[in-house]
Amino acid sequence: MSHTMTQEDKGREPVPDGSRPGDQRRALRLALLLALPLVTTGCGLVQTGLDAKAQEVHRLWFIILWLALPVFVFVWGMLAIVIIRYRRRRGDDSEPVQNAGKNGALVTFFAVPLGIIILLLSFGEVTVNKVDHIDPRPAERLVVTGSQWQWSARYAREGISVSGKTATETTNSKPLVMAVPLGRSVEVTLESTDVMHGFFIPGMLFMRNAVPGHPNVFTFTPTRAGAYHGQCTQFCGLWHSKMTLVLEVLPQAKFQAWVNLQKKAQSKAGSCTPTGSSITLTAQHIQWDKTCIAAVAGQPIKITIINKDAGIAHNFAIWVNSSLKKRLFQTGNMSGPATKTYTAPALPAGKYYFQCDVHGPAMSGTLIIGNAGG
Amino acid sequence: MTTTDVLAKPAAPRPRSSRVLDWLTTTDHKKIGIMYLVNSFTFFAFAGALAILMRTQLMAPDNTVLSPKAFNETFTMHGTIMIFLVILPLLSGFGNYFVPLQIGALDMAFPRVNAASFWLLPVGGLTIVAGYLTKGGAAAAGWTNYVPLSLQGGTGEDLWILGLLVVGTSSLLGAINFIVTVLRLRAPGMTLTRMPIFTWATTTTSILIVLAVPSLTAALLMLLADHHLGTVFFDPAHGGSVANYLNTFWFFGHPEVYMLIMGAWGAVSEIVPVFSRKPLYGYRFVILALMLIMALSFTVWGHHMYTTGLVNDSFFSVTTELISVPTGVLVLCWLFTLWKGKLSFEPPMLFALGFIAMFVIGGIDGVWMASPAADFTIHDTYFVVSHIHYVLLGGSLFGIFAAMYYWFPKISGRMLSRRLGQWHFWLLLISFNVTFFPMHFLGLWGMPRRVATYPITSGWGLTNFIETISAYVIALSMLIALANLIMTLRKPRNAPADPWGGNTLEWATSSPPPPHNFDMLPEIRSERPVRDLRLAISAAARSARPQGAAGPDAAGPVEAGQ
Repeated sequence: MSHTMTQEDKGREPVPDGSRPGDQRRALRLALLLALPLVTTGCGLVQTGLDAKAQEVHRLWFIILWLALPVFVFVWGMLAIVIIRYRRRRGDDSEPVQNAGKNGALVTFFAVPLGIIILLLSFGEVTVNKVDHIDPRPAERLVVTGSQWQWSARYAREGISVSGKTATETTNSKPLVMAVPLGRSVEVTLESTDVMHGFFIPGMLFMRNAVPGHPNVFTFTPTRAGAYHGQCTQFCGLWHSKMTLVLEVLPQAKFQAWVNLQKKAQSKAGSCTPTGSSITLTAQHIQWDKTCIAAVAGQPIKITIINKDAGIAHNFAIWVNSSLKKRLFQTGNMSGPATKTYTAPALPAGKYYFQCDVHGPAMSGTLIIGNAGG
Repeated sequence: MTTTDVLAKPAAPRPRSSRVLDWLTTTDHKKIGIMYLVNSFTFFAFAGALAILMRTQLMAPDNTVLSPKAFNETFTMHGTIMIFLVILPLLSGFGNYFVPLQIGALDMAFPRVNAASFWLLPVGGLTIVAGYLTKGGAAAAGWTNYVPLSLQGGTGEDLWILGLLVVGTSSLLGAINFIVTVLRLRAPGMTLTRMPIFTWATTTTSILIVLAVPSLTAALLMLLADHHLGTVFFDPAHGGSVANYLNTFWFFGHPEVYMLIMGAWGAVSEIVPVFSRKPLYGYRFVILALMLIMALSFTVWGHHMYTTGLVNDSFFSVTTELISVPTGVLVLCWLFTLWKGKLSFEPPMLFALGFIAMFVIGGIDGVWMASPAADFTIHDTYFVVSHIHYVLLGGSLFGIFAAMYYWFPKISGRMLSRRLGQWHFWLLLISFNVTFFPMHFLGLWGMPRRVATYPITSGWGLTNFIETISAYVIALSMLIALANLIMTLRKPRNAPADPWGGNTLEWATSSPPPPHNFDMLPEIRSERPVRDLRLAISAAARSARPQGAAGPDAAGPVEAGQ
């Protein structure tokens, strides 16, 4: 653009001004100094990321920075120069040269930004294609579900699920802690049981929304072990600010140990024996009071639900298992505080999964159908 | 610079008793413009106080000044009011006052429609605010009001929807009025390519409103129906889709962003030439850029949805980057207007220069958000909060303050204090940057927007503390501006018709103008008719002096008439 300027200058009378020769350079230095915050934005602050995709994004950040910086320095530098050099002197009522612009220069005004954005777009497109690439054969498949106001995760291969806990007026929230194996490709399907949520882990340099009715899938292969914090970024209501999660990238052996620990906890929580055909469940603070319920086989089941969460809707649903492929029974939503009794059809003996469909795995447990006393 | 005073005779005094009734029933575009400004600045004080409340809550980790519910209401109201009841109507207020003056018209095309569009504003605004009086509290789903969250709202949410429908109707009526006024009521000689850029910007804004607001209306009506009539437009469980809302809302919502800034661009495009004493560099290219931005703004809405997985990110990144080309042209035209000018740093010029400097930061950090992969790291974080405030506060509001200092003498007949104006500017410039620049960092560190609090372990406490203290300084600078306005209004009138050496027709009449705007109109032969007149008068005076004859009439003003 300085090329254009010199063209404009040709043949014009020099404008008298009170500037010293160093002014222009000083203004430029000032602008560069003021650009420092922008530079540090890129350098010190963007995380380098836990996988190859994140490192691509990190690189893109710098490419944009180096393309944007000259624009910033040009505008601020020019502002600094005109403020220093073209100050109107007291008592000077004459007009400067009335240059209203030439078409050639103005066409350059369109061309230069166009050139910059073509570069930006090319780099951006390459990066986003890499980031959005989905590994067709992932080693792990997770379904991560956002609900007001906690995250939960189901591991398809291991058959386990883990969940965070929502905050309430009286209790603090607990983050979802989800482990993934180091160096293995992980597929995440994001779902929501209620409103939109935002799955974001700064260390991944990646964000995706959990949209009701529209599961989003992405894959990544973590290459750095560690614990990475994240939280919901899409405003989702009252306790949005406390909907947190931790991604733990563990070496293979440790990951297996973690899985076994979850399995053990789940089977411990999921063992109980039927005593009759009626069940009472209480929902409070978006949790059930029991993680295991049981009823005898071959008889209709009487289920009493006590919802103590004022203004919050819950329901009760029985599924074949936690993969949520087949639902056997579902009540309507009931807003608390309320108590209602439902009758579910008789079921053959076996192990089932139950949850509040509104809140997903965060309010779930095992339903054992067996023989009385056995 | 008092040469044009001769064109203006003072307005006839009016009986005092009818004053209130007069304001309530007026169809004078100038009075309606003033009411727009007073109404909007009142809402500005309210929404600003809400911002101070929010900053106080965020001052320290795990703070409990506001409950999560109160915090959610506060940011929802802050955003809604600032966008719909402050920035847009402030620009409409200046538009109401100055578009007819700038094109040499007697009034707007439909004066009574104009009054209606104003009176709908406080009605709509108060309807939204009335949510605070309901049992469930005010709307608390954010100004974007995403479904399904907003469908969980109660009466406050309903009032928010109804209020916005009223405000949208007000904008539509006003916009149609502006378009007809500009097309039909221009004075003889005021061709479209001689029209002041502020009037051009108001016109392109109006076209945006006419094309985009119906989309908002549709979204709001569907929300209302889903809420109360049992329809399922947005319910995925019954064949509806969240994408329906996002697309309908943002198809309005992105042009909205340009509605909020075009008027400020227009004001800056007037102020920079006047205080550089040069013509606007590339006048026709500025108009071209405005029209390109107007058109392109309808193609970029999907960049608000990059992270939803509902849109084609690559397509929207192309259109979004493309719109930065004409925006860049605007900035270059202002810079080259300044280049080799003779700059005087009156408060309007300070704010105009501040506008350019801040707007460029808001433009540059927007580049990261326009690139989908980079956006995945900052979307819905404090980075976005920083960006929108660089565009809407450092941008739109700096432009509005520039306009306020520039046009206040014309509206009130009084010059604002220069010293207090400088204090206002420097305090605001510094505190604005200290408050909002570090938010970029908070975003990169992972602080999501719209969080009521953050844990002490996050390490975001110090940055937030500094920002809050600095936000109090922003409030102080606004109080200084308010004091300036009040003190000036208590003084006698002292402003000449043309205090700055203006270019456009509003400076060719008295300050304030008579009810009929002009006694005489100068001949319009360029986009700077008042400068032409000034030059003609001084040339006539020079050549006339030896003969001892001729007055300013020799410069050839023509009868005002439609």
